[in-house]
Amino acid sequence: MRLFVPLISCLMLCFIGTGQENEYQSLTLDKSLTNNANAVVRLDETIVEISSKKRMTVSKRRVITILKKTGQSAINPYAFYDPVTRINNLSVIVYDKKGKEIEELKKKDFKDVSAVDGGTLYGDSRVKYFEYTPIEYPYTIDFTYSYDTSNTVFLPKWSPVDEYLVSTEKSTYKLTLPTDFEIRKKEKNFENYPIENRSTNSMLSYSLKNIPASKREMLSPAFYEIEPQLLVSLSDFHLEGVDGQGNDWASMGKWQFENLLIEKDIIPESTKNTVGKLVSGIDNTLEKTKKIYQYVQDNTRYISVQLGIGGWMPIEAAEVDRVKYGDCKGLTNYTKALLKSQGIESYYSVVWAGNYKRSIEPDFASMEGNHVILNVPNEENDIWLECTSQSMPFGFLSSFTDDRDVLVITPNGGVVKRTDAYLNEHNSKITTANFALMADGSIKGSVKIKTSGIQYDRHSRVYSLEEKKKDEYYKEYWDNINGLKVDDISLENNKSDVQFVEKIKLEASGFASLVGNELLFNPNPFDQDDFVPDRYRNRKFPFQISRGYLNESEFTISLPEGFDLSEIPTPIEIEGKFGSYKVTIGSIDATTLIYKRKLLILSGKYSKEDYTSFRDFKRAIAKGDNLKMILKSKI
Amino acid sequence: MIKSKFLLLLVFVFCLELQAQEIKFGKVSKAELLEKSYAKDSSANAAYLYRYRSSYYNYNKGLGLELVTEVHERIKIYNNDGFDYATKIINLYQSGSTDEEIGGLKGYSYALVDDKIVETKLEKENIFKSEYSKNIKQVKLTMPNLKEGSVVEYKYRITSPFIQSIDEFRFQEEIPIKKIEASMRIFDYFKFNQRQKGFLPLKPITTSVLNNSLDVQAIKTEYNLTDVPALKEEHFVTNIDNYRSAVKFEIVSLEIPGVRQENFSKSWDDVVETIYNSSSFGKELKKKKYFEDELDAELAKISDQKKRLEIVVNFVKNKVKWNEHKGVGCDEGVKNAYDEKVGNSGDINLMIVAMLKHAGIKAYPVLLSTRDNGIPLFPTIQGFNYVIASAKIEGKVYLVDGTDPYSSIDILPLRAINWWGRMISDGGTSTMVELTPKKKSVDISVLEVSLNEDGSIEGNCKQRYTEHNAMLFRTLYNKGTQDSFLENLEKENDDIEISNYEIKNNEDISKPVVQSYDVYKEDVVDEAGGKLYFSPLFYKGLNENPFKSEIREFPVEYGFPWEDTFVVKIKIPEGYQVESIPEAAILSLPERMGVFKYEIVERDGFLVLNSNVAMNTSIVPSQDYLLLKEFYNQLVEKQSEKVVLSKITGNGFEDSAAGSR
Repeated sequence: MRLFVPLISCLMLCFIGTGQENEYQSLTLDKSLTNNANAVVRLDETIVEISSKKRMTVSKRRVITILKKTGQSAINPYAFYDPVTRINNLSVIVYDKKGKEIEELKKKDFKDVSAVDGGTLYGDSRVKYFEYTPIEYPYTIDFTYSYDTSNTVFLPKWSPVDEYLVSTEKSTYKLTLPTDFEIRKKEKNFENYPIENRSTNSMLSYSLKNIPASKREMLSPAFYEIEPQLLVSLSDFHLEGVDGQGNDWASMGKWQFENLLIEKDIIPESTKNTVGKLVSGIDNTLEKTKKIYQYVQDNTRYISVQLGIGGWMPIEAAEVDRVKYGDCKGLTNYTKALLKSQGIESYYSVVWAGNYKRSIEPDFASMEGNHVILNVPNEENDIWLECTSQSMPFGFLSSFTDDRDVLVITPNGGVVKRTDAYLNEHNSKITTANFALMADGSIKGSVKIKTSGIQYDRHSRVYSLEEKKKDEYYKEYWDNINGLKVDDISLENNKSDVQFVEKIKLEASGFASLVGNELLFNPNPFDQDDFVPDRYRNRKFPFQISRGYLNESEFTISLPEGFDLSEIPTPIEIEGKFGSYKVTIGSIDATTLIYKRKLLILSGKYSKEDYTSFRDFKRAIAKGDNLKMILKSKI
Repeated sequence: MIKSKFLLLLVFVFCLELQAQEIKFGKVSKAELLEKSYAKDSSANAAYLYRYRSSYYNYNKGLGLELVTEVHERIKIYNNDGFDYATKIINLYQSGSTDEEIGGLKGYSYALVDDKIVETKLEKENIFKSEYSKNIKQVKLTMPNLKEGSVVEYKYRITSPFIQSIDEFRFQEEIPIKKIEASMRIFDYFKFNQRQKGFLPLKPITTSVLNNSLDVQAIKTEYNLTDVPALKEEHFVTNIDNYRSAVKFEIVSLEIPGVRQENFSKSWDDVVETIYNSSSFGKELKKKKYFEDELDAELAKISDQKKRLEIVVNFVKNKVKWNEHKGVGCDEGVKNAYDEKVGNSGDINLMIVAMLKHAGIKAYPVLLSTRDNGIPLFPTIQGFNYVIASAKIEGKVYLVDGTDPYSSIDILPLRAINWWGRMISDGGTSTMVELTPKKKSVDISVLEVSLNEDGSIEGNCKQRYTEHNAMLFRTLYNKGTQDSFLENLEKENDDIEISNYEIKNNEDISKPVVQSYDVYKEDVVDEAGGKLYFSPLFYKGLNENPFKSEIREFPVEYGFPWEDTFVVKIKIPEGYQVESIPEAAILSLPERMGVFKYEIVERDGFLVLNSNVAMNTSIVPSQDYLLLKEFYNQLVEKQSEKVVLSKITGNGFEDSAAGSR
């Protein structure tokens, strides 16, 4: 997948490396490292020393040469800490391009601020960081720090390949632990890299050298799916005052249940009664669950407060019941508690949320994930509930948590399950329109768009926009139509069927162009797919279509009097491994046209060799959607 | 006489009103809870039903004088999207051992359940305090038991030892405000200024009241407003805060007879004087030993003043890098910055002034406010947060800023172009200087293309940038790899493909930047009925109106005047003839603020297009917004008009039948 560095350049680097005085000069860096690079990581060193279940010391050193201004962000000038993590030392040395020391920063030169993002009400993690103003490029920063912590459940992992546009000269990882400790590890994506492994019984030791910088490519898999990573975990660990054990997801899940969740789901009698009344007379569990989910949506809101076992323990259900807010953990646990009060079983489930479908490591148990959802067993078709949203339809997950492995925590232990997938035809958009083309090139008409699946998710966002923003949204959505004026918008959010319907009345002054005595127009103003992914002369990564979709449209177009249709374009039909595209145009009478279009894009993972033909397919679609028809004036 | 009567009447009316509609903490009405939307703006997700602020001085025997601010806010939450307004963040400043303190914090949320008002108290454990940074402590809270339709309210009191810095009274927020009651009481001992900004008519009422803690008279200034509209973000606004209605009080002097006499700033001249006399400013301007030898060597043998100016600016730019810290005065001191090679805006630009003087050029510092700091509408010390240098040569003033490697003489970085600054003369007096550039920033492209059979085009593009366009280009080009720059360039130009890229003067700021490249673009020519159709600007035209909104409250700010010219030379393919080309057009905004010219002609087997858009102003007032929008509409329409080429048939008379009608 990536270029190996020729031997000769290794030799050269070794030769340069021998002179102690200018070890970190950056004038004669190897071309293979500077190519496409804004920065070069000269050395990234992680040393982890575990001395007991409750004590770990981590020493980090990162020496990085910044070649360009945009490379600054690769410095990572941060040292995080929290109530159980203490930073021992911090130091920075700056070298100029000749490798001469020009500046030294000490602990007191670091700024110390709260590490909580703006969206979080409270959290106790903090960060120390430094700022340095470069006098010239390139220059080199040698940043060393170490910290002690009693949390041994999160062991630093090793990710030797840095971000895009940053190359790595050398990255090392070393972990030592008492001989009687059991450690588990997983090596991911190691196969394409010359990783050196010198581990022994009581020590892990890895290193990797000379990794050129790579560029981001459109539609490529997420970085974590392709980069090499070493994951490590202790079988007996400690997390903020609580000891734990776990070798697999079953035991890890059981430990989490017993230490983080148990007895957190008690709600006041009054709420129990309220909910009881709500579902009384309903004997179907699914319907009851729906009612309770609706209750949670109507009565709570999302507020992030990161407290309790490093932010891993939910706030008690009783407290959420009182204040009516919580974070994902609190709200999920609360929903679980309400369901339990009515005898419905459900499970707290940990997930990696985000648009990329990231699964938890199915075969490597550790504390991972960044979000929590609720699993409600329902025979073959489990129900998944996103408890932080006030507007999400019941049982709908959106692209935030769809189609991925998650950890379902049951009282008997953890189970890995996959969330619902929305693929291809599920994600549909049906556009119908009726519009009149006038002799002056303007159009007037009405459009209806019906979406479901992931497309529901994308389109239904317009529902809560204020009027002015809605107007702007449609002008943006149909940015291919100049002079668009939106006359009326009516929206229907059909949550129970997960369907969104938009009805828009509109007109546009400059739709068709008058060229001489001809009127040139595009018969498809409303369902354009003009996205053609970038061309790569030499693509490095495979690509993927995460979700796929089906777009169908039918437009009735009435033509102005006094014009002749010179020619009706022949149908377009393309069929291939990525999907299909079909356009037909017919006429009902002399002044009425029917335009029909069907586009199906199939989700899938494809090799880099397939990329060009996928791009050609998208080009053909863009071209087909840009089809022009001509009306000739009779006068 | 008439005047005082009028005042009395106002006071009288005000008292009546106050009695009639007094809003008490804890007394929320059913009507407020029943309200479904804000009557005057249905798009509001939330609204302040009531906003009270009272600031006054209090004499505390142990601690001395302190500034007290009492706040009471009542907010109606209409729907989910307004929930954010139930969260409040209060910043408390601390400096060394003195800090601001919060007290009396109470909050309730109210909801209507079965036609009964249910109130929920904000508990202590739901109030979070944290050390945000060295100088800021934060108190964060979010109201409990919130529902759509809820009303929340809270009150608190801040006691501040920083008696001179009175926070701005904000009268406008991103949501509407139904009723505002705000007052400021200042002792007679203090002289103060009071300045307003924004579009709302503010009518303060002034009365004299007795301050109990010191037993002296105080002046009370009150503002009572109703139905304040929401402030809404728009494009092409450098800083929305400039348009927010607000009042700022500034203490000018303190005069306790026989005890204390102290002057603070009161006019622009006073502000300038205060800054000038501070140790990090005036003194720093006088130092010159640290640079004399090195600079003299650079200046030797050059006598032309303009050249000497250039040498000094380049000397400093090469020597000292900006640490991205703003400031009117020096952080490090000029000498330190010179030795360490790093400094803030004060270090760098005061150094330039000192060096220019040394070089025999009349030079003065210019104080200004950067864009993110807003426009300095009132003479306050905080109003200025930045300094640049100016030079007067043969009666002409040149502005320079040494903090940006790609800015140059009279081409300031965008952050520094914010209406006007104050130039400080040697004696410490000052005059206003306009910062907005007058000279147009030009972008000229010459594109030569030929059409291919498959609907693609290929050719060559040469492009030249001047002034601010050149500065922005250099900043973008030089910050990362050429590869990533080109990727971006391809993307921004409608996915063209670029090869043989060449650039001139990407570092040499004395000349315009020139780039040239070969271009290839797929699928730009449509074929229908044996004819070729294409927009002759290809990827260069504007195909979308940047102004979408039907109304606009604020002026459109471009930052600098500009002119974009595209010359496109298209080779007519063999076997084709021109059937039709778009008509020439000229479009103009009032007073020639903006002009668009478009002309295409056929000449020697080529089509030659000239499209020119000139924005001769850097700001278009909001009353001309609809004209501007229409200007762009027509521009987009014109630029997307098509050329039609048709096949020449054997006899060359293909369309004779149609032509004869």
